[in-house]
Amino acid sequence: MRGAPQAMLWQIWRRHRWGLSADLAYLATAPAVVALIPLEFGKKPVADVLGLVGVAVLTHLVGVFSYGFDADLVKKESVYPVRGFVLPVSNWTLTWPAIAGAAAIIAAWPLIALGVWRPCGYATPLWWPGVAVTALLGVSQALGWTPFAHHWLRLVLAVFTGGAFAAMGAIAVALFDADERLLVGAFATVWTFSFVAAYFGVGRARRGEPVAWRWLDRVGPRFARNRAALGAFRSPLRAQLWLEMRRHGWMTPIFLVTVLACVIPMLLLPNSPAVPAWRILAIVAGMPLLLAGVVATGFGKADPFQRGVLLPQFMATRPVSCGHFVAAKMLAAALSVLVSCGILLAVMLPWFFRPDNLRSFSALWQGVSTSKVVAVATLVIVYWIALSWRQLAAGMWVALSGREWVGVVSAFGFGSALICATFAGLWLSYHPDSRERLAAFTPWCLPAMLIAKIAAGSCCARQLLLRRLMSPYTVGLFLAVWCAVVASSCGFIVWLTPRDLWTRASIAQVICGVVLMIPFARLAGAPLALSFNRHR
Amino acid sequence: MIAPYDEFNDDVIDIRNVTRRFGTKRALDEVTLAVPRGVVFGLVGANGAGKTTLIRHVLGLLKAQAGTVRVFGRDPVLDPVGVLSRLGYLAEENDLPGWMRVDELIRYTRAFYPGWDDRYAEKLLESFGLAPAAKVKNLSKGQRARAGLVVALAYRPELLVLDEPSSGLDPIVRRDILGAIVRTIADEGRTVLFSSHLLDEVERVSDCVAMLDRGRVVFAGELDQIKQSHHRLTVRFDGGRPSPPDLNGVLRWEPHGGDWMATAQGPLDEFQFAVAAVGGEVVERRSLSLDEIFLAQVGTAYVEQQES
Repeated sequence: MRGAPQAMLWQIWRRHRWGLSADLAYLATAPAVVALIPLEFGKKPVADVLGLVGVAVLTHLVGVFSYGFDADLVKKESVYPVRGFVLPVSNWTLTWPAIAGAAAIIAAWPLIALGVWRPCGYATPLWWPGVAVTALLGVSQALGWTPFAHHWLRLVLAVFTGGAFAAMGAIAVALFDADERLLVGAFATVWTFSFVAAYFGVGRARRGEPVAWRWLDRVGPRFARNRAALGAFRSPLRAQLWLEMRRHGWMTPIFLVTVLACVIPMLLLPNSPAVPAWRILAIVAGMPLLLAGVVATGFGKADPFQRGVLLPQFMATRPVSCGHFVAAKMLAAALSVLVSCGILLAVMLPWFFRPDNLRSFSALWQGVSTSKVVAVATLVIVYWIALSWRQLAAGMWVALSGREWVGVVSAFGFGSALICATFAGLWLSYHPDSRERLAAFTPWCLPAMLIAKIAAGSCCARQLLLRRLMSPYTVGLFLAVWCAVVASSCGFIVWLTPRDLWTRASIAQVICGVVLMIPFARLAGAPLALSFNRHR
Repeated sequence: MIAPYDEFNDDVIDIRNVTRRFGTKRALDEVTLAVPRGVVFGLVGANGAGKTTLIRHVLGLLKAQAGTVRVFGRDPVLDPVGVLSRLGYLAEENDLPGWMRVDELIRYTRAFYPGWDDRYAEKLLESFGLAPAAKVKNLSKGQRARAGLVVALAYRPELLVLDEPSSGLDPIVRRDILGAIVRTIADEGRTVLFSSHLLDEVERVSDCVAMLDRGRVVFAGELDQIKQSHHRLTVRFDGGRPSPPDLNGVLRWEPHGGDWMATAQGPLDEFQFAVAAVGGEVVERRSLSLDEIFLAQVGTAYVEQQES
């Protein structure tokens, strides 16, 4: 080995040799595959698939060179391997993977653009996406390698940076029509600042000096003191709800506010004709759904920052039933979503009533009665809140089960289903003749799925009663509420649909779809999963 | 072997034929044990003997794969609220939520126990020198153990369960924990179940003891009775012997000058009679400490197990 930088790179290669070999194999073979496919076969579907793999390769490189695969990102300590800090090398040498990673990504992107995208007919930019991913790598390294005094600070900064990235992209598209030189300059500047931050972050980690915002230490206890003075909780459920709100409940609103801080300046810009107002509204309204989906991965745990999913003994030995534990989590999810949606509504209402936006929206509901518009808007808001809650609550059972393998199996199942659906969608978009054949299967598929769902739900309800995790009254009430939500959702959809589209088959399909969409077994299974975890 | 406590009617804990496996390892093997009301019950055994597994069954954190566990006559898995509301628990792995302040921990915990005694909690906080505004994660290990004791004792539980509570703690914290045991038992009808490696502690405060070895109960009973049934005897044989005789009840033989020293379990007169039958004579007798009994019962097997 000639020197320390080469040794560090060899170490990265040795650790990730299989993944990096796969990346290299892709870069070597993908352009050849594209070149070999005859034009008449249609190159675009190939570019769609191989291009997505290319994005995965770049993401993999970001993970490898930021040491993200071996790290616990929610820890407050630096994710940089500690063994590096005791080597007799300078901080500059330790920061070497930042330069190597940037070089690898900058070199990889043009190969993908020139070898895969462009031959398939996509006018892909040659430089700025690569530089943007390099900037992302730099930010990941800066955030990951710097130690923080509070473990949530890294997460908040990550969300803020992600929002800033999106804002940069959107502003560039809206105002400057995605000028290549400007974007390369902007992202290169981000990388440069990130590199400097990563360098100082490694230094801080090496001497055990975390980034601490002292004012947080002063404000936090004062705030907590006021809360502690509130007096005793009226019931165990209230105490548990307080704990869940403190641990999980404020995460979605905090992340939302962080993202909104980046989005609000964009909302102040004049609307671009390329991006209609309804699309902006849909993107912003999707934020609680997206953030709730991210937060949901830790919502089932006792503490979102804990490693593993085991229920701590302190929690497991509280004299409270599994049903009450889960009820507190569900209530915290509801409060969290209500606060988030409230914040978003408060921010979006002034934007909505801006004259140009109001004109744009008025065009959408022209000819519809005002009462119907108000009713639809109200119902849309209600369903938007309910969907955000569903995002948080429906997957809770996975972490509540306290078994890592449940998470792995469900993630693998979901990922496989997503990949299959993507490929099926791509296939259908290029083979319209297959759509009819698929439609012929629908009358069989939907009832089969419905039967499976009802069977799973009945099994969960029966186990809840058999194991005395819930009283028959509570199970009955849950079932009644679920039926009411299904019935009102079906009614809402039928009410919105023009009468001439009503057929027996279409109504049956709507009912099947709604029943499949609204979770029952996953919610009813949460106390069962917790019991499975608590009494092993 | 002394019979376990199945003759008691007023048992706080009643464990019958409980077996538990983790993979191929049998952590508990047909364990039968009863803890009567109003005693301090010590659970001793080497590492991996099954003490923590047994305690986790009592708490309902583990479900018996075979056999039954009853605490206050209830199944802790089927009725966790009914059992846990009457029980205080402190473990070696004290996993109190680090993000809470001490006053928040108390505020949160008191909601679950209608019998919470605010004055007693304050008194404990004061005597342990715990600052209410301190964050749990910033407390030392000893202070965290004290915070755990406060939330385990402040509602005056009928049963206090302590799993290796003083492991790795300094003598002052250990004294506080022993004090808590004494205070708990001072209230009539309250019971303490605690496991410990520190056998002198167990000997000092326990009324009854059970010893576990590789998932089995080696003996269980009143401490005085156990100590009376174990003897250290010096045996002299006519003309000396190159190896000791094979006698019932002898746990261990050690050469002692020209004599042999036996660690034996069982009635003394039976042993004296057996020694006389092989041409020997008991020339000296003394009683054993719990530490010595432990070593005699499981020491050799434990060393062999560790070596293998």
